[in-house]
Amino acid sequence: MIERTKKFVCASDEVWRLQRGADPECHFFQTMIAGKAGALSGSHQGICIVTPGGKLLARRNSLSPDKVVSLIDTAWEKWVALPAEDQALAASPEAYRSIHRWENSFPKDGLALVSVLRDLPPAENSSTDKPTRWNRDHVWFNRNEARQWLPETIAVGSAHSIPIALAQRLARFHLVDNVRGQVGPFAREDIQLATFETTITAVAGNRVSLDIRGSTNADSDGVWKMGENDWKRFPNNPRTIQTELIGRATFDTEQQRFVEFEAAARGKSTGGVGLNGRRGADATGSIAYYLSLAPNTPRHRIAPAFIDVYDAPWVQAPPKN
Amino acid sequence: MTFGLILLLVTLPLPSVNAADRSLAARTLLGDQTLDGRTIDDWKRVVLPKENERAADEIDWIPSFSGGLEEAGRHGRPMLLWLMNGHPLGCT
Repeated sequence: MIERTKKFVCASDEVWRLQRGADPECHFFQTMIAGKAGALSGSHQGICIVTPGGKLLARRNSLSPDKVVSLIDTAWEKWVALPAEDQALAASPEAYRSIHRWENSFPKDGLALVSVLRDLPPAENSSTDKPTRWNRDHVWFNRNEARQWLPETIAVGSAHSIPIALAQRLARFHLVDNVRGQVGPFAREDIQLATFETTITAVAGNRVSLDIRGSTNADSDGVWKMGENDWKRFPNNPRTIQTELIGRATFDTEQQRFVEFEAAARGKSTGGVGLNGRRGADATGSIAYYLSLAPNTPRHRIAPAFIDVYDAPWVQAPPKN
Repeated sequence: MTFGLILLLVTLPLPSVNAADRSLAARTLLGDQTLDGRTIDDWKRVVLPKENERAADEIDWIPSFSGGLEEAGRHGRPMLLWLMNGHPLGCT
């Protein structure tokens, strides 16, 4: 299948925004699918194959490799059968260029982490030789917030609790049980505990080394508390998660940024919303997380899943219609 | 360094440290912190996907619909677009 994809330009995107948004990029997508701009109902997840002009060649949502291969072959046959002038017809970027994407808020001089999480086998500390489900998200702090991970006084032994707003961001949006699929965010009121302490372990020139320790406890009664936003439509059943985190990091005081950052966390969850693979109040989850600096590549500038409810003034919201 | 100086250095009392400093020093000297008996490196090995779980990462995905369309136009090739609720290269 990988070989087959080399004949195409491969792109990926979040479809909920594309099928419901009012940005030119979203309107172009909606017109490509339905012939006119306007919110599309239902799910449009899957693979779409289109011409550079935006003509749909084939579309399917399937987990079957054979069906996806068949889709790719069908689309390629349609493409080669097109007249050369149709193949050469590219849409004008003015027609689809986005005005707002959450990636516009990427904190290029802040702290951007990639968080990978994995379901642990049911038996405690048992081997993970058998693959279990995993997922990935990105975690953003802007430049000022990154500096707030450090104590005011740069000296070995100085300890510091990161501000509650940053601790809440981790507890509400990142140390959550979305390893098997999406889950809604926790509200501020759901957070019983969110504390992350950093301790300076070494100072060498401009390099400040930190140890990090943290704990979170989130407990939602399933009642929506976050006003109007897209997540309100999400299932919101009772659920809890407790996590413990350890980490180490190096901050460069001259560059005013982290040059190393690694953390691991362990979470235990109860309940779920169905879409995250946990059904009912009796469901339990055991999850491990590994967070590290996001590589400097476009695919690692993808916005965090809950960026729209980050409540951070530096995150640019879409223009009001 | 003379033998006498070495002897003097090893017999000098260490500066006094409080309990927190001792625990910090011990942790630093002993190496990494642990969580459920595992170091960060151990957890990294447990969590990060193995090569056979990362086939999709072999493809050089352009991470937006508009970016892909622009590239398709530039190269005169069709675009294969992978769409999910939640970005396929992020949290789905």
